[in-house]
Amino acid sequence: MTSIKLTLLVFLIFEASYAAKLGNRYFMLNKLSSTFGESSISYIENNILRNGDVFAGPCDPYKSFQSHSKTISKNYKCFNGTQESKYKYWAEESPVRVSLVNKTCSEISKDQNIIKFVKEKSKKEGVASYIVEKLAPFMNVKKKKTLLKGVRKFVKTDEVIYNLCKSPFWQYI
Amino acid sequence: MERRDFLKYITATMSNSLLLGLLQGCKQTSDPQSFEYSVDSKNIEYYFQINLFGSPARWTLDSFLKTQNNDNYLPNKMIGTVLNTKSVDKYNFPTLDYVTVRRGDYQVPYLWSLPIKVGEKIINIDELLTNMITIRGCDMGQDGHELNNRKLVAPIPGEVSLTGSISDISERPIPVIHLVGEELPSDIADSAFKAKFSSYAGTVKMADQSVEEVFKKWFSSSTIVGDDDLGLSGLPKSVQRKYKYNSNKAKKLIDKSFDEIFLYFTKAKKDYQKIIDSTFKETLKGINDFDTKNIQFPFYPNDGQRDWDLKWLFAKWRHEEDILLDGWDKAFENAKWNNLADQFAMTQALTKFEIIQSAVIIPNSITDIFFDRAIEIETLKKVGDKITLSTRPQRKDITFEFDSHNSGSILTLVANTYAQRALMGCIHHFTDFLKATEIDGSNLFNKSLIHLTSEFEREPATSQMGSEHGWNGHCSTFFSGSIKKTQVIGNILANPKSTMYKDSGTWGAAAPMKSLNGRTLEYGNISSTIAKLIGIPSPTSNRESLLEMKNGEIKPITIECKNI
Repeated sequence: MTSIKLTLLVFLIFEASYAAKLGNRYFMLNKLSSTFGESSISYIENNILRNGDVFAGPCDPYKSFQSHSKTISKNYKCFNGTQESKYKYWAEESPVRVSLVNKTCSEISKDQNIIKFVKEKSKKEGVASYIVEKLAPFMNVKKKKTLLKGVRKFVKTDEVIYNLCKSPFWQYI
Repeated sequence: MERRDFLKYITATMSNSLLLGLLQGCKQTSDPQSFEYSVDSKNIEYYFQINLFGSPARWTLDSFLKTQNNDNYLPNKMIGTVLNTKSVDKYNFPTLDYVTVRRGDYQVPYLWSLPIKVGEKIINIDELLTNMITIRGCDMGQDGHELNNRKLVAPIPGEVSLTGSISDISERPIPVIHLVGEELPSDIADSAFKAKFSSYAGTVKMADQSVEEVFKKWFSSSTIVGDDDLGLSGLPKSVQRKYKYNSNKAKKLIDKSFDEIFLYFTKAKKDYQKIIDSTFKETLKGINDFDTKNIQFPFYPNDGQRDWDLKWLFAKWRHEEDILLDGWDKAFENAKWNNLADQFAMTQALTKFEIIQSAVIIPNSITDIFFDRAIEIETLKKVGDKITLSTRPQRKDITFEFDSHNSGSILTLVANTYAQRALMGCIHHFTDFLKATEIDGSNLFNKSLIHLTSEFEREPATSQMGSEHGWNGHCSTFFSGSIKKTQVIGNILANPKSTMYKDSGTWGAAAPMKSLNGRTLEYGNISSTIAKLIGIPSPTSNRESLLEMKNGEIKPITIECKNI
């Protein structure tokens, strides 16, 4: 009797302690800008970085350095005042977040400079593999294969970019 | 069973059930499929709170002090609903009278008898009374604006708020939206939002973001072919469920056209703005249809004194450190109630396009109130039996703060009448929209609860210089299509032993109620009432609801309403 209860308890602890974390706005900036290049930063800034209430991620109020890299200069920046330093570290899923990611990815995939950038970077492995590798480098091989199989139905580059960009597979840590 | 085994068994069982409870709690928060509640079409489905931060004096509107002619009522010179220019005080200044008019079973303040002319259209604000229940004489327990303002949505600090519970049962993409006026502090009702399952409530600080930006931010549409399930299979099942739940809700945002919603909003805003402007442009009979030429300088008080306290002498006409002399009849002609039209129009547009379930509107103060002549009290000089000016009167532009500690009785009456009439005009227009919107064979007004509230009532000074926080006398008013008859609930003290002033008269302080076993009404009763009508768990379950839904009609559980 006791052993059954203990087994059940261990199982429940394992089940409950596993919780996928959703990346915050700076995580999104780093992932998306490293995949789609610096041209994507303006879209990320408008839709993601400026919406810390949706994407979480405490800013650094002491951050004052500037860098030659657009990505680094926006990392941990407070966009709407220092009160953003109180935001949670991990984000929570919400309809507005899904909508804003969707919007960012729609804008990214329509930008001809970004399409050109992605095509150049992915000459060897193909657009889909390049994006998946950049967004989720440590993804399980089996899962990666399933994902790439799912992308095959999209022929146009903008459709591949849009769908992989908005997919949740890389947004959970 | 041996004693040792028995103890082992008890310990294991207790710890297991404790841990299981905790674990289930953790699982619930991450799994939207385990929601306990859902929207019930028998209940109220939409909740709109109009939250007047700063606590204006509401004795001119819905804090009913004398519901019947024979009510025990002790007058206070500051509490007036009309300015009686035919009756003057010892300085020849007009007096304030508490005048009521009969509507249904109740005597209601004079303001309700003043229809609003908007172009050719006339808005009879007293029509709202048919669908209105007021709960008065509620003791908030503590003083403080911010604290009590947060209490209006979250009666237990730090616990799940009423808005949070609504968010938990709602299928809308942005279940709750807070529309906060630009000049307001940051730690008020919007910051008290807390849900059990949902984490996001839309908060729009009206000045930071233009409404266009907000709509652009929320509504996105893509013409590119998409697959919502791509990459989902690699994620844990609980994450997949949560993502799908949010993604389905997000579709309502993604599929909507920004242009369509923004166009609708712009049109609605024009209508609300027209109502506010029309209200402010009128000169109101019995309120500000007077001139103040009787205050001429040198001024002879003729009261046999020489050592006047000038602040007291001119208390009626006071605003902060000024005395407002002339131009009362046209003072509000160009007044502005910033953001109010935006706030109502946004609420209307987002309700119309099924984006929200609930909105909390927190309006600003009223600005740009111009007086032809005003003088600073400091510039007055006492010379023998007269008072003279040392500088010429100036044209003055003032802002009327609802927290009117230093607004004399006349400004308190005139400004609140203008503001509250404009607000009633907007609520009337909003209810017209709700009535015209069909839902499940009924209309949206029948499914909505509009809650007009503020932190507390005001306790008037007998000097007529201003008013203080009446935190032991809160008032909440509800409008709904499911309310079929005017009702006032709650006992008030006719002659309260004041917390601030002696002889402050009847102003709405809470009095014990028989139906509450001799206890005074508390905000917990009001929050339980809201929760019961919506069908969500009450954050204050130990306090009784005062209303209930019976056969599609909101009815009072108690009808106690006395001046004690």
